[in-house]
Formats: sequence, structure tokens, C-alpha cells
Amino acid sequence: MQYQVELCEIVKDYKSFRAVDHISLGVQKGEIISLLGASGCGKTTTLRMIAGLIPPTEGSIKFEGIDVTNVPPYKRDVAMVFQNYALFPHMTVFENVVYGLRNRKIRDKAVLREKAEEMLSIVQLEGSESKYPRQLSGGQQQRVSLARALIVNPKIMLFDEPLSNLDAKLRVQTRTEIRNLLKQMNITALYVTHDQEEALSISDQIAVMNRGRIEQLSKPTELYNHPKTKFVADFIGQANLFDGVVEQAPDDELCLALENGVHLHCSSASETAANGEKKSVLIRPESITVSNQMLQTDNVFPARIVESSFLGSVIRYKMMLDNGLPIKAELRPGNALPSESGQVYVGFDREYAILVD
Amino acid sequence: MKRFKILGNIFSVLIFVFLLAPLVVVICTSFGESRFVTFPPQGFTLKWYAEAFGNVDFMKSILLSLRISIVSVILACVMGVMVSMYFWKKPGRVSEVFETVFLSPIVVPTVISALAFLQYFSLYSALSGFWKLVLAYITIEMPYVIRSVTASLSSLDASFEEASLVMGASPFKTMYRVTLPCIKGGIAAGAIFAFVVAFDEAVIVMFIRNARTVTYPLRLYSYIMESFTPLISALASIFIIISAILIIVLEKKIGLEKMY
Repeated sequence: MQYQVELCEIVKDYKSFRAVDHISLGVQKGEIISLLGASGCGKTTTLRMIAGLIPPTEGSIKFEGIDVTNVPPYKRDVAMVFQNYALFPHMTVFENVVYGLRNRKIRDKAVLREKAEEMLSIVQLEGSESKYPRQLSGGQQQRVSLARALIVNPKIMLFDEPLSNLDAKLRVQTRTEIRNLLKQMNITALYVTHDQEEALSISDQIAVMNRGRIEQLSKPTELYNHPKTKFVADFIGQANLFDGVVEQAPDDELCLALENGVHLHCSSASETAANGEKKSVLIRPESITVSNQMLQTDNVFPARIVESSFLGSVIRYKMMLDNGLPIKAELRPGNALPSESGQVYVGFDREYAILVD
Repeated sequence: MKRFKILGNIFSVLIFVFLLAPLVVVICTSFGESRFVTFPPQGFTLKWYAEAFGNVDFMKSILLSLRISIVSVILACVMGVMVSMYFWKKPGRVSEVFETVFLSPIVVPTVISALAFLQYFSLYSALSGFWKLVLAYITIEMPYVIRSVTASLSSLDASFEEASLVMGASPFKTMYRVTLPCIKGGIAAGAIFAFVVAFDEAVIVMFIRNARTVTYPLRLYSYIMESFTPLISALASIFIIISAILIIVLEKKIGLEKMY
């Protein structure tokens, strides 16, 4: 299976630090992969190397199996959507949208007009051809920028945090639109974002990046439910994480001995845990049950509620286990809630305690 | 607080009077009927304007000044834009040093520059007077162009060029379809300033003139030495009005605040 776009051992060094550290990644035709990470993790640098705007220090980039590492950006047949839209201010919407086609030697006025109309109707901006970018709202400008990129049917669409200048509601709406469009037109895309929710909802696969490396490349659900490392577990969603040593429990199931002597029964789904190995355990706050009565789950601990906060769809409890560990839980307000004073029991089954590196 | 505000207003009015009163006097005296410049002017006549436009020497000088200014402004703009773009693309210590060199004609007293040009051109007598002036003016115009173009470039988002490259335009195409159109306001502002500087330049031309390069300011000066009639005022008024129109256009189209 040949990748549409393939990065082989890409390195980017700046004077004093390594921005990208041996990244390899394959994107299949029609696939949407997100590069997710905090600022400074190398995700934008990676994107700009694929666009050809900066050269990699080492490694190679292939499009459809052909090495393009030394091909300048204007010959790569890519398209990019920028955070600040980067619409040319002196051109009308029409001129902006057909810019890529003009550069691909399409001169026929009728063809240009027809294509531009088609694209603008796809992004729901019919009739804005003669407006200037400054006359449009941020959301509309970003849709023009999307049309400008889609019109050339590029080998790969590159998104550089395209939604971070939009307000929260528009962001949610636009990301769904972007995914639908890309899927409908079968366009391969690489999407850089620091917003995990955005990455989870838009991508087929997510590459979580940290310090210039890819920590984990997985499907969104896999990433959330079975993160491989502590960094990923902590970065995606809310997490309770405890360090410990792997032990085999008497019933031959996996167990993690925490520093203070507590034993946690863990999911045996994570295959590679050897006895005596140092690991961490992840328990998502929403998989924890809190009750005033004793619970029948695999792991049960007595605890006290330290703090509770109502967040709309959930109530978040900060608790202190009697053995001294702090733990967070999220309960849905509709369920029976524990009384906040006095003893509570915190419980979760072993399949919700996931071992991570 | 209100008292301070009134004081401030009075002060700014006084400054305007100080700056503009001489111009008002010149314009008023150009309408005087007497043979000599007097203020307040006596009577009202437009005959000095008629005489000004009918004066062959003056018309020749105006045309010469226009030719020198326009040629030098075009060349200064081409070079100034190139230099500014280089500084923009390659910021660093070396660029800073060169930028200072290019901007230095603004701070060097004109007399010093004039002397330098005189000595320099005496080595190259092959150049005609016209081209000597053009070359000298390019040097003193470039700082204005560079400053205004650099200001435009610094507010230009680098992602425009990147977007253009990624969308398949070569670097050359990107320059003339994206970068230059985006900074055309700055270029125009720099060009107009440079034009005004060249058009009313009187010191350098005195040092390196010959019989064929009597420019407009020089002609005005030599007439004043001979006789001080309201004709001079009329010619000066034409000059003031042309400059004012240019500055107003500049302000309306581009905004003068971009210059600084």
C-alpha cells in the first residue's frame, strides 16, 4: 500500500534546539491525520516542511512515492489553510479563490468562473465573488480560504490551526463542515491543532506530538481509551494517573503496586506488562463510581469529598482516598449523587484501570 | 482639567499660525497690484499669474525640475523597494548597518552632501548635468522611499507570500502579484515625499549646476536676486498649491501616519 504522503525520519534543527526529531508518518489517500500537541512541540514545523516552506535538516518527504524533499513549494501541488486566513487583501473573493488555478495555467474565464462558483457554493458563500476579504467576517474569510485551497484538488491539504481565530460555537460548526467536505471530495489532509476536541472530532487518526516526536499515532477512540504513554493520557481528556510497579495478583490478573502500598487491579488488555516493570495507571474520571454505600467493583476505596464543581453536563468531584491518594471523578447530575459530607466509596472495575508507560 | 484643554488648544492654534502665516503672506502678496511686494497687498489682480505662466524661462525650469524629479523618483523607488525587501527578508546585524548607511543622507547636512557630490562628479565629467542631478537626488530620495516601504513591509503578514507560494506561484510571480500590490501604498507615499524633496531642492543644485540645469528653485532664487516683484510670489504660490495638493492626496489615499 503506497502512502499519499510519507515522511521518513524527518529532522529539523534550529541553531540551539531540535524542533522536529526523527518523525516518520504515512498518510493514505483520503485520510485526515491531525498533529496534536502543545505549542512548541514541532507540529507546525512539520507542516511547513511538508508544504516546502522550510527544508528538513535530515530525512525525506515523499508524495505518491516520489521524493519531493528538494521540490520548492510552488511545484508540490499542495494547498494550505492558515490560522489568519492569509487571504490576499488586494484581491476580490473571486480572484483569491481562482489564484491556485491561474498558477496552474488555467486561463479560460468561463472555466474559472464556473469553478469558483461551484467552490463558493460548497462553502455556502454564493454571490460573494466581488467582495473584498475585509468585507467578510472571520468565519466567512476562513471559508473563502478553504475554497481557495480545495479548488486546486491538491495532493494534500495542510491546515495550520485554521479555527483558532474563530469563536467557540463557529469552531464546532466549521470543523464538522471541513471534515464532511474533505470526505466528500476524498482529499488527503494533515491538520495541525492544539485543541484536542477539534482533533478528536475531525481526524481519522491523531498523532500526539511532544518535544519534536510523535508519542502516539492512533484512531481518536483508541487514543482516548488506550493511550500508550503517560503524556498522551494526560494530554487527552481528564486523567487520574498513578505510578507503580507491575505485580501479578494471586488470581493471575494484572495488578499495580503503588508507592504507598496500595494495590490496583488493572486491565490485562495491555499486553506487554512484565512483572516488576515500572508503569503508570490511568483511570478516566467518568469511569469512576462514587457512592455512600459499599461498591461491588474490582477496586474499591474509602474516601472523602474535598471539592465538587458543577460543570453543566457533569459534576466533578475532587476526593482524597483514605490511603492518601487524590482522585478526580465525574458523575452525571441525573444519577443518584453521594452526600458530600462523610464517608464515600470510590470504585471502578479493572477494565477501566489502563496501564500506560 | 478643562483649563488645560483650553490652553492646549490655544497653543496648537499658535503653532499652526507660526507655521502657516508665512505661506499666507506669500499667497496674499501674489495678488498685489504694485510693482513691489508689499504686505498687506494693495488692490487685487491676477496679472502676475498670467505673467508667470507666460514666462518661457520659468516654464522651461519647471519642465526641467519635473523631468529630473520624475526620473530620479522612479529610479529611487525601484532601488529603494529592492533594498527594503532585502532588509525585510534578511534581518540581522549586517542589514541594520546597511540600513543606517542607506538612511544616512537624511541626517547628513545638505551642504555636506552637496560638497561631496561636487567633488565626486568633478571626477566624472562625462556625465551630463541632468544625470548628475538625477544621481544626486536618487541618493537623497532613497531614505524616504526606504522608510515608507519598510513601514509597509513590517505590517505585511509573511503568510501572504507563503500562501502564494503554496498555491503554486513562483517567487517572482508572488512578488509582483502579492507583495508589491500589498505595499503599493507605502511605495506611493515614499514616491510623493521623494518627489517633493527633489522638486524643491536648492542647495545641491547650486553646487553642481551648469547653464543648462537651472531648475525651478534656482530660477526663483535668481529672480529674487534681481527684482522682488509679486511675480515671485505668484510662482511660489503655484509651488505651494502643488505641494499641498500632493500632500492632501497622500493623506486621503494612504494616510500620512504610515510614514513614521
